[in-house]
Amino acid sequence: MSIERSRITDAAVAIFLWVVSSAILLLVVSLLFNILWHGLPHVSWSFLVDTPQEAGRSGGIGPILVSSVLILTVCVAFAVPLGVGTAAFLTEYCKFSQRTNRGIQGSLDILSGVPSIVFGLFGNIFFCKILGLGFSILSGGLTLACMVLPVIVRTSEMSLRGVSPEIRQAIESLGLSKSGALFHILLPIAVPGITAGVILSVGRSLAEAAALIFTSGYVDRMPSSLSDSGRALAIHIYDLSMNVPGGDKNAYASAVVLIALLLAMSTLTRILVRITFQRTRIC
Amino acid sequence: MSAWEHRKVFAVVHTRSRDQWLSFLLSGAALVASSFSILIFIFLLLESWPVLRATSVGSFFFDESWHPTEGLFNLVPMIAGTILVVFGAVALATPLGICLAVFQQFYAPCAMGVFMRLTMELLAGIPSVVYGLLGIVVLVPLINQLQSPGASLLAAMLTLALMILPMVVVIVEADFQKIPRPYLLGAEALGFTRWTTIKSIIFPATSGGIFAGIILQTGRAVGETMAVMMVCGNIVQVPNSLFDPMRTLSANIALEMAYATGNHRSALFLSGLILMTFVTLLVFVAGYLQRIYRRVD
Amino acid sequence: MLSELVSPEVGPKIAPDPMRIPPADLSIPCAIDIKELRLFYDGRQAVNCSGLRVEKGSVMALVGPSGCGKSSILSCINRMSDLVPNCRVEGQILIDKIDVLDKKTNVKSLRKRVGMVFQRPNPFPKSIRENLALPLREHGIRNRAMIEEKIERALRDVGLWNEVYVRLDSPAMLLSGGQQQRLCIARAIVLEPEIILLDEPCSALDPISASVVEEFIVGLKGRYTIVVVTHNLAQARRIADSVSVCWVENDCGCLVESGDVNQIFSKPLCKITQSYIQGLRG
Repeated sequence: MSIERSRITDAAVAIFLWVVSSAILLLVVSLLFNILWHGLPHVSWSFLVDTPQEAGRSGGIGPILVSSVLILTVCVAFAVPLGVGTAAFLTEYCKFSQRTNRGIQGSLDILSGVPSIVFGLFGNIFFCKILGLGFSILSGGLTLACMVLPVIVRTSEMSLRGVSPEIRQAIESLGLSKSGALFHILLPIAVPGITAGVILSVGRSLAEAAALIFTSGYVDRMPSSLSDSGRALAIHIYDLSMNVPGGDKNAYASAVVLIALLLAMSTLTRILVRITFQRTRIC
Repeated sequence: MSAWEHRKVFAVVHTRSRDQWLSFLLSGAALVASSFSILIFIFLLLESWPVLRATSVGSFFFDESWHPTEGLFNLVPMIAGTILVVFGAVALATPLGICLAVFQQFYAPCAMGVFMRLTMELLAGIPSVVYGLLGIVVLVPLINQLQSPGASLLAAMLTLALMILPMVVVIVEADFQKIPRPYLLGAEALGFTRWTTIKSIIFPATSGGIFAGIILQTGRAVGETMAVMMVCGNIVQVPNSLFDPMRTLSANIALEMAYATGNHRSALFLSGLILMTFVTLLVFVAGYLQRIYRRVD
Repeated sequence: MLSELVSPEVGPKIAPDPMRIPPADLSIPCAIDIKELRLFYDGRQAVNCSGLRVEKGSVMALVGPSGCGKSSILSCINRMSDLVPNCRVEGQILIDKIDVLDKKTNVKSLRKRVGMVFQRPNPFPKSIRENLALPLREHGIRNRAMIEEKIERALRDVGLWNEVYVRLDSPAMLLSGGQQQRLCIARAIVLEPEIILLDEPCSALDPISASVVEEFIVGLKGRYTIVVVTHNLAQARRIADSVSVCWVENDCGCLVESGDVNQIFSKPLCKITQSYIQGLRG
């Protein structure tokens, strides 16, 4: 291909890409703007705190925020010890046994691919019926814990493996016990990475609706305990847009709140990642 | 032995039993964590069993229609719906995503590139219900003006495409960034134009990773429930045109589960099992491709 | 020229000529007695070392070219070789009449009695005090006054006390390279081991820090038995009481000569030793 022809092609491609990208960027930005335009006016302190009235057409999302936070707390409380424990097992006890390592990783890989509606089905059977928890915040939180487990294991494992081999040499040569080394040296070094993984999981859980419909339920009252049913924010948005005529306004407002929370999470993660890099630079 | 030495001996024994406890707890955690995927599979199978015993496998394909309360379990409309929606969405999102990623990485001025990257990352995290909300309020009325009812296969395809677009861009761009600088410097030294560099060096180098990433996104699209449910029209039929309302397998489960009993409920679990098996296969294929791609690298 | 002296051996690998190593004086108390040591990486023999004795309270320098197995030999003494994948160790290393290589030996208490310092300083990312207190607590010493006392003694032994006693709670990572390495030595001796192993402790440091570290290694003589791996012959001459020379023969590291430092440097018994020493002097 002559230089002239390839230059023309290059220019044509550049023009094409500019047009396509600008168009999509415009579309995307206008959609985001749409959400803000319709939702922001309705977001106020009373919106965040009041109870929903008239099936959510008016009033606020107070109990819903509380339910969401409770579900997230249950999720993290179960997923973190389980996930970090599994990661510690993989890095400290599994080094020379490739088959166990691959088996656990494979099982977690499958878990990470399971569609959220299937998690909803599983949660319904296992937590609601078999464990007898019924439609409750506890069931919802536990189901979400299964869902985010692969993420937590992966980030914790990466953080633990990231500890420099020289530190591990020092640990061995001093004859420190495995438990002492893990709790006093390895985990403190891995904490920023693990926290980033936790925040990532919280972000994913906030966005989740399908897994919660059949596990934590629909009730939009303020929950009085973990065994009460509670409605998560994402489900509220779904209900308002699909089942409640005229619920659009508050659906938009709830969406704005949800997106704001997610933005806060991703900023937090970014800050944490920067702290981790600063620490490793001193190390 | 002096008191100090007694304490020393005790402490040594103490750390040894602490180590044993830790080993026990950690292996327990790993066992529990790795058992979940097996448990899910087993429970799905158990709950699907009644309907599998009650009817033959053929009934899921050849029954007259989907009327579970009357014992008719034809899943074909839903399966067809899922395949069409996913195919359309991936076919739309993949080339667009690659274009965007190429633009973002190689053509956009610095500030614009950063802005695009942040926007895509933000979009990738937005929940599917919000995409569904946008679909209901913006897209469906728009399509309705072309041809009613609006809530249709097209709406579902476009909404899903918009949803997976940011992830495609993020994945492809990550692959682009992995290309070692010497490749690009060599191309520049040879006087290649930008497009030639991209076409002949970057695409071949990243195609494996991009392909694997796309398969993963397909898996995600297959499992997607909320956004699709909100815009697809929810009529059980094999769509004849883009404007026909339809229903996907996952939407079917979400819609009917609340009131399904007996064999109906069991059939829904079976469709969940089908979904899970298919997505698991895709995950394995993607993982396998990624491993090959990395080895070639 | 050196290669002319190392005649290529045809046939199975055999231990070096016993005549090269002067007969051991069995009356001197011996802290480390490597009776025989064979190391295999991936099934291939990499080190064959027999008859290395380290006198109690002395400093022994292990010298030799790169790849002759000095660090590998060192790592066997405190069983750090266990951590290397695909590595098999055979033989007998006696410390205080206990065979260190025996599977039944408790490795954690072994490492309390045999401390190690590595090439690159590797303090924990914690405060100076925590770096020294943690090993003490892990090995059963909980009394806070005793911990403080041992920390001060260890830091004085490496000359860090006057430099850091006002900031014991500040991060160890903020110390200079030489200070970090001295902290690592302090960490190794805070457990009051009998033996200290140092693997090229000064090679990652600038010359001034290196000489400070050397000075304090010499200061530990008598109280501890010290084995230093070094490729710096001048350093070996400065700090060691005895020297063992390693060499590579038939792709396998082996011990060529071992003896008093003055004897090795002025009247080496073995031609290889002679050329190695002269090669660096000349």
